[in-house]
Amino acid sequence: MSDNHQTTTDAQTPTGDDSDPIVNVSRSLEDLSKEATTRTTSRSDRTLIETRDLDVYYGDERAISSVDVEIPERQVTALIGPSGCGKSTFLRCINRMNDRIDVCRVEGQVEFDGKNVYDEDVDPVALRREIGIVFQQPNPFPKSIYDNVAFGLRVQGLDDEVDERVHRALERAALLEEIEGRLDESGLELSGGQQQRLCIARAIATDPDVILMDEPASALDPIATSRIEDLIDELSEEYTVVIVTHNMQQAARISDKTAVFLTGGELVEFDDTDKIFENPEHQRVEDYITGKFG
Amino acid sequence: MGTKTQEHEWVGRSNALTKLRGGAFKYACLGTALFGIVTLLVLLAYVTLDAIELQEAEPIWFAILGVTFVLPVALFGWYVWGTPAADVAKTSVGGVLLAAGLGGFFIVAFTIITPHVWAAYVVFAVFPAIAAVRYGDRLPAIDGSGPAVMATVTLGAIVATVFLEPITAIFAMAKPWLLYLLTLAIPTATALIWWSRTREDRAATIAAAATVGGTIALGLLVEVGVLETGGAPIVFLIGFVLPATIVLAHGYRRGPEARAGLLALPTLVGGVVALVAVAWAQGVPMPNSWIRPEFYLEGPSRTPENAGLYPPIVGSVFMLIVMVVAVFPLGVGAAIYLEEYAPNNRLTRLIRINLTNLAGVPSVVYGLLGLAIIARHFGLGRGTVITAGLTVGLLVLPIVIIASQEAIRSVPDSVREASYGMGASRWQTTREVVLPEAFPGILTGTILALGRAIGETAPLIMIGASTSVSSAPTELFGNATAMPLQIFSWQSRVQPDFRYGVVAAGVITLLVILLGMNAAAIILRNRLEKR
Ligand SMILES: Nc1ncnc2c1ncn2[C@@H]1O[C@H](COP(=O)(O)OP(=O)(O)OP(=O)(O)O)[C@@H](O)[C@H]1O
Ligand SMILES: [Mg+2]
Repeated sequence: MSDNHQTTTDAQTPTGDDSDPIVNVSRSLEDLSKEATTRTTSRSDRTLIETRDLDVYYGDERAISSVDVEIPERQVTALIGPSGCGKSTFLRCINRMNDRIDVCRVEGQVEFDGKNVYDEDVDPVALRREIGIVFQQPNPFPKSIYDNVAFGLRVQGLDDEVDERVHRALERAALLEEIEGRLDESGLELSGGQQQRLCIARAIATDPDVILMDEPASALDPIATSRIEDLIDELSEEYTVVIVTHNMQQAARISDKTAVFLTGGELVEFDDTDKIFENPEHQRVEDYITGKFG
Repeated sequence: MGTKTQEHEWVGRSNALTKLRGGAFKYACLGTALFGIVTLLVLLAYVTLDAIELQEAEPIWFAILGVTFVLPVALFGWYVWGTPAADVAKTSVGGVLLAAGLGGFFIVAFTIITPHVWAAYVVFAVFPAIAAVRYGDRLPAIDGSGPAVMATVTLGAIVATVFLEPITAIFAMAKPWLLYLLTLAIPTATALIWWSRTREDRAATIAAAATVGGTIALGLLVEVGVLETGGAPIVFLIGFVLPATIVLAHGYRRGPEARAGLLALPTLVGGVVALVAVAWAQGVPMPNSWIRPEFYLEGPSRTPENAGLYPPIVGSVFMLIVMVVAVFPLGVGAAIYLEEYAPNNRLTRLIRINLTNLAGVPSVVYGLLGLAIIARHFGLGRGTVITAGLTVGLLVLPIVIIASQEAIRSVPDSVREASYGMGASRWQTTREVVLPEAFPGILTGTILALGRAIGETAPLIMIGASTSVSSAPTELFGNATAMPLQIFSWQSRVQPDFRYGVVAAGVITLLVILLGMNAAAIILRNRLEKR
């Protein structure tokens, strides 16, 4: 499966980066479904994260309305949808990053491994050690590259083999080559795309169970994007990955499941990626993924 | 109507009157600002003239001054002007002067705090706190190390205070230099190495080794009887030699071209030495300056010639220590709580608003508060060091809190998010991400606030501090006076020499200390933020 995917990625590299929706707006369903079929979906079918009737409000404004999703273990789930439809909000609910926003209120349940993460007895800090996140905007610490990656290891008390883990994480995030020998420089001195890969390295260094990624490839060039996609593919053997993307080809290529949100924070369709891209149930979804709307 | 330029509203409408008004306003602002600065400078020039009585120097003395000091310095300045060496010259002279100030502060501070007391507090309060910071994450509760730090510091300080006598008795068995080695030199060296690890700076490692080595060497000199006491030289080594060397080493590493700037210091010092030597050889008397070594080593006197600023300097430094110990942890802690922990409710908002009000309360009012609460109610005594330190500390506390809050608030929220997203607890985020970023701002704010505290007079009068004491305070409950109070008391003397010479010398001293502190604050901020 991995080989298969690799060839696809290489073939697609020239057009792989259409994070800008203006370019390439119109896609045919066949193109997308060709990519989607390259992935096999027969891995673990256990559900790791399940939301039930999830509503999220910012003040009085509802950003997510009654969303039910079952995110399978060790697979890649893509969240797609137009800007402002609540993808980031949904993602941040899973590891309770929304706790930090005063006006944000969550109703309903987010079950992680059978336990509602919004229960009283859940420690969000410990939860976030299991569910790592890469944010939409790259946000490295104003520290050295090395310290950026080692940060999670330090705060989580994983202080054995720090050097090794840091190097491995940087390598997997496709950053090591470029910054070899510059580990002592500030993370802020990297380019935007490099910073994003640094943030990915930082998130995977601590080996969380789940990795949430909010548009990790939006600032990357085609080559780095394809390496990140390979990484996601590789990660999904061991980890559960939830990824937000605006890039339909990317969603089709790398994900096993796809959730389509549309304006108003409603989940319109959630199914196997093949199904969504080959034969979506809703006309609105088809319109959206083929670029007719959104 | 009709011509092309008039079709656009934004063409050709410049109004002479508007321009005139704008210009008038601009120059009015400039004028008032200049007026303030110029009058201050004129006053300063007068005070300086009074303090060193230049007008009474003989013309030949000015000639010698020109040849030995002004000319070489001007030539040097002309030579390095506009080259990288000029920068090194500035930083090396400024840095060494600041280091001298720091060294002076250290020496005065360590004549007040004996090695045994110092060791007691370091061993019981500082070491456990460092251990809590370092290993607190291993505690079962994830967020346990924040409270653990507070608890260990408080507990350790209380233990050290309550059992001060037996503890110091035990420490008294060790030689002072050994205590300094263990509780001052080695921690300083460790801090330097830690600092260098994060900054890739090998010179710091060497400096650390030199600190420990130098301390041991001084200790051995004491042992073989060459030196009488190890204390002052060790403090001098760590307070002055070490920072000065770091400054010079930095200048040296700027490259061969910039290195010439290091000669600025020898030029200045050599100029002064040459001036004194030539004037002495020629039999020309130096001007009758009121600023001379004895002025800083003697106490009050009936004659202006013998009057000195030593007890008030010690008093001010002692009060400053009390303030730093009381205000810095409280102020920074309060700022951290308000910015990072406090829920955004009405109480928090009320506190925030009132901090600004507190910072604006007149200092006499704080004096009254200190008299009623600290001196009388808590019985710490009228006019004692501790009452004075705490009262003025209370006065600057809101300033420290507000400055620290601002520094903490300027740390972008996205890095906090990143930290929480990595599974860091609130305290870990504060300690690892927020505080390192906010530290330069906090330090600057605190130094500026302490500068304000040093110049305070009214609250000290209110709490009944004497304007003049015969000997320097040696304990927290001793009577003390501060520099501005002493200056005030000299001003009311009958002899004109007091009112002109001695007061002027005192004012200049106070101003130099204040400017030095402000300069240090600014330099520290620029340097630390450049990282
Ligand atoms: N901190 C906040 N406070 C108030 N409203 C918010 C906040 N964050 C998001 N929202 C609102 O919630 C809605 C969903 O936002 P969200 O960031 O989840 O969108 P998104 O799908 O990630 O969009 P994009 O693709 O542009 O990143 C938007 O209408 C937005 O205005
Ligand atoms: Mg988003």
